[in-house]
Amino acid sequence: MSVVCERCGQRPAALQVTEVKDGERREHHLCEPCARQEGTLLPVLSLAHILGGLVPMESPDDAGDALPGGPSCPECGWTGAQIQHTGQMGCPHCYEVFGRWVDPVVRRIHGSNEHRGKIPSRTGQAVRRQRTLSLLRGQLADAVAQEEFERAAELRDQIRAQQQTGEA
Amino acid sequence: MAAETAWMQATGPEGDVVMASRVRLARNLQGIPFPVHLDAERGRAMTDRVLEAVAHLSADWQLKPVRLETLSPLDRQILVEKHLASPLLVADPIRYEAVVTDGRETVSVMVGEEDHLRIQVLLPGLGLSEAWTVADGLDDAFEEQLDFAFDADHGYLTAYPTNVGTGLRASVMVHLPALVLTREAGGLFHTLAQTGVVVRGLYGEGSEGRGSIFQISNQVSLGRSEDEMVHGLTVVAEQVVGRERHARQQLEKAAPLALADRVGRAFGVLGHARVLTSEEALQLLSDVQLGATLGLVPGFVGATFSELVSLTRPGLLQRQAGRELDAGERDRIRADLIQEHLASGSGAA
Repeated sequence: MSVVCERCGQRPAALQVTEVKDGERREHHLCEPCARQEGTLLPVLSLAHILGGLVPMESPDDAGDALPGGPSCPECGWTGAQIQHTGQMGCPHCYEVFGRWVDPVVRRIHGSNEHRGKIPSRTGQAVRRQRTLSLLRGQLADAVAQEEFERAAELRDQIRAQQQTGEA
Repeated sequence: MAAETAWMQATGPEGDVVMASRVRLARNLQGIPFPVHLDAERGRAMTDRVLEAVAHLSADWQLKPVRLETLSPLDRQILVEKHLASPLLVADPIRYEAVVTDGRETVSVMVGEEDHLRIQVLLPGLGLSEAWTVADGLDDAFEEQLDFAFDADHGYLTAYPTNVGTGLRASVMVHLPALVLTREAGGLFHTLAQTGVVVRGLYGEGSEGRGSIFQISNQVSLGRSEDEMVHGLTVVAEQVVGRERHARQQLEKAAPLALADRVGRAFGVLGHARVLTSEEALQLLSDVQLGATLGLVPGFVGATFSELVSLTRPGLLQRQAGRELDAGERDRIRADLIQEHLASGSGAA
C-alpha cells in the first residue's frame, strides 16, 4: 500500500520528513517536488538522502547538511549527517538509533529486513531460542489446522520445554 | 610470507574457467565503533584484542598475525596482489591494521579494514561451499572468545548496511576470454546484475576485465542463509562456466585458423619478447590460456596461468628480483620470468 503525498494529494509520497517543532516530532509523507518546496520542514533525513550516501556522491555539496544538530548515537556520537557523508554507521549501536531511517535502505538493498543466516552460538542464545520458538509455533499452527492432534501435542510440549529453558 | 599462495599454484574444480573462489565474513566487536569512526588508540586496543584471540586459537589453524606498520610498502603491495588484503587495508596512513594468514595463505583475516574483522578463505577453482565451511569454522572459533555485534533482525552488524546480516560475500574469479572475444560478456553481465550479482575487474573497480579476468560476487547479504547464498552463487558460476565453454567451442568451430593464429602469436611473443608491460603480459597470457584449454598449447595449464598472472604483478616481481625495480626494469624482468616459466614448464607448443 503506497502512501499519497499529504501536500498535493496526488503523487505517491517518496520521502518521510520529520519535523521537530517546539521539541515535538511530527512525521510528514511528501512527494519529492513538494518536499523541495517545503524547505522549511528540514531537518530531513530521507531515504533518498541516505541512499545518496551509500553510492558515490556527485559532489560533496550534494550531501547537504540534512541533520544539523539532529540525533546522534549516544554510544559513539555518530550523526545522521555522517551516515550520509560516509554511507557507514559509526558503531553497532547506530543500527538501533538510526534504525527508522536506515532500515528502509537496508530493505531496498537486500530486499529483506530479516536475518535468516547464522546466529553466534555463545552471544546469540536468546535469538536462537526465539527463532526455534517461532518455527515450532508455525508448525503447531499447521498441525492444528490439519487436525494432526498427536503431532500438535508433541509440538506444544517442545514449545513449553523451550520456554522453560529460556526462563531458567 | 610465502612467495606463492595456494590458489595461485593449484588448479581446482572447473579450473579452465574459475581461477579461484573466495568467501568473506564481516564481523565486528560489540561496543566498539567501526573503523571509520575509530581513533588510533581505541583502534590499537581493538587490534590487540583480536590478535590476542588469534593467539588462543587452536594451533591447527596455523595462523600468524602481521601488523601492517611492521611491513614495507612493497610487502603490503604483495598482500594485495595475492588477494590476502584489500587495497583499502594497506592504504596510508597505516594506523592499527593487521593481517592474519595461515601457512598456505588460504585463510586471511583483515583486521581494521571497513569492519573490525574480515575473515576470508580463498581456494583454487570453484569451491565456494568448501570455502564457506572453513570460514564458518574459523568464525565459530573466534566467537568463543570475541563478542560479535549482532541483533536478531539485522544479523551481524557491519559498518556498511550493504554487508549487514550474514556479513557474507562470496565471489569467484573467472577467466572469460571467449565471452569477451565474441562480445557476449556485456550482455551476460547485464543479465547477472539484475539477479543481484555484481561483476568487477580483477583488482576491483576500475580494472574492468583486464586479461578477461573478472570477479563475480553476490550483492545481497541479508534475508537468506549463508548456504543459500553460497549455493546461489555456485549455480551462477556454473552457468558462466557453461557459457564460456560454449563460446570457446563456437570460436574454435567458426574461426579455427584465426584462433590458432592469435594463440600462437601470443605464445611466440611471450616466449621471445625482451620487454613486457604488465598490461601486455596479462593479455598475452590470457590468449595463451584460452589456447591451452582448447588443447592448442600442450603443457600450459591453469595453475601456470594463475601463477604467472600474479607473479608478474609489480610487487611480486620485485620480491622475486630481491630488490626494488623501476618500471623499465620490471618490464624487462617480467619478460625474462615468463620466458623461464614457459621453457621449464614443458610449455613448448
